[in-house]
Amino acid sequence: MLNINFFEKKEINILPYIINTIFLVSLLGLGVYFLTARMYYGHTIDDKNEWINANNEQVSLSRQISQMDHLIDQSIDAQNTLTENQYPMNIITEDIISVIPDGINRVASFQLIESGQVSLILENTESTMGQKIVEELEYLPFVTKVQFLYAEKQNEENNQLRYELVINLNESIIIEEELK
Amino acid sequence: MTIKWTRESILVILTGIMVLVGVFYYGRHYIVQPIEEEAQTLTNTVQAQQSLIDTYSPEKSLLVDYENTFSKIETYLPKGVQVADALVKLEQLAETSNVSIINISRLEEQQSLEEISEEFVKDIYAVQMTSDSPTNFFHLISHLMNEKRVWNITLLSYEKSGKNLYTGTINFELYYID
Repeated sequence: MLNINFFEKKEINILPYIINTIFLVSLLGLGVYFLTARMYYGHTIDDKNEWINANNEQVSLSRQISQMDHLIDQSIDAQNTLTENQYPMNIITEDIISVIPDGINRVASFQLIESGQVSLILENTESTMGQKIVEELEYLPFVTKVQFLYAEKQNEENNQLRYELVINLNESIIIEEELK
Repeated sequence: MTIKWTRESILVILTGIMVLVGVFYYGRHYIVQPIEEEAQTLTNTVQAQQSLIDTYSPEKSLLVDYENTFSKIETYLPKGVQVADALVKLEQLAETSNVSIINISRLEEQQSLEEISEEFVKDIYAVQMTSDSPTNFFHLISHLMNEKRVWNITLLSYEKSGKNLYTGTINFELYYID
């Protein structure tokens, strides 16, 4: 038996339509976002390129000035450092020779290298004078040690000897004093 | 009209969300990010260049001022060793100090000054000389050390070679901008 009720209202489930609509709207939103972002960044790129091209010469000039300024600062710093680190050769030699009586004539050989050692050969020096010279050298503030290497008689007629001494130095004392 | 939740509808929603997330992720990665990065790089470049222009006004007169300042510095810390100038000065000071220069030789070149900067280097020279008194050697050294250009004398050696004759050697370092 066929039972037909024309007045029965069938309920429609609208959930799939809502889901589809939300999905499509979201997809459309994403598309709009991508398009807008590309347009925005493209516009930014055009603007910045235009600025770079327009200011090319000015930037180049400013860069040259900046490099020159940097070089000047570096050079001044370098010069100060080099002056501070300059080996105090004049002070050391003159101080050492000045404490040796008649040092100009008595010193037959002198060698000072930056490693902080002086090698001296003294001529025509009596033993008491030699001892006094060693003591005087030891009083110098930058001398850390005076080493006696050898002494030999110069001639048979008198008691004068030839000495070789090695003097150890601490030049940082001089450099610190100069900086003060 | 009704809203009827079923297992299938939940699965469809989850799938839809995953699809949207995937589209967003790959879209950003392949469509937006490359152009965004390019724009960001250019923005940074422009900011840096603008800052440069603000700091150093792009005026030719300013560049000339800086060049003049540097040319004064170059007289004592030159670009390039300028050894000819240094040797002329050495000869002049030796003559003033009564010292005869026998020979000058370069021992080392372009040693970098690591404690300062790689742009600055030094050459090392040895000078053999004679004089009638070691005092003259000391005078020469003092003159050299009083020069504005730094002459770093790292070795002095002399010995008596005869009556009123002393022979000596000095090693010195000359600094310059490479």
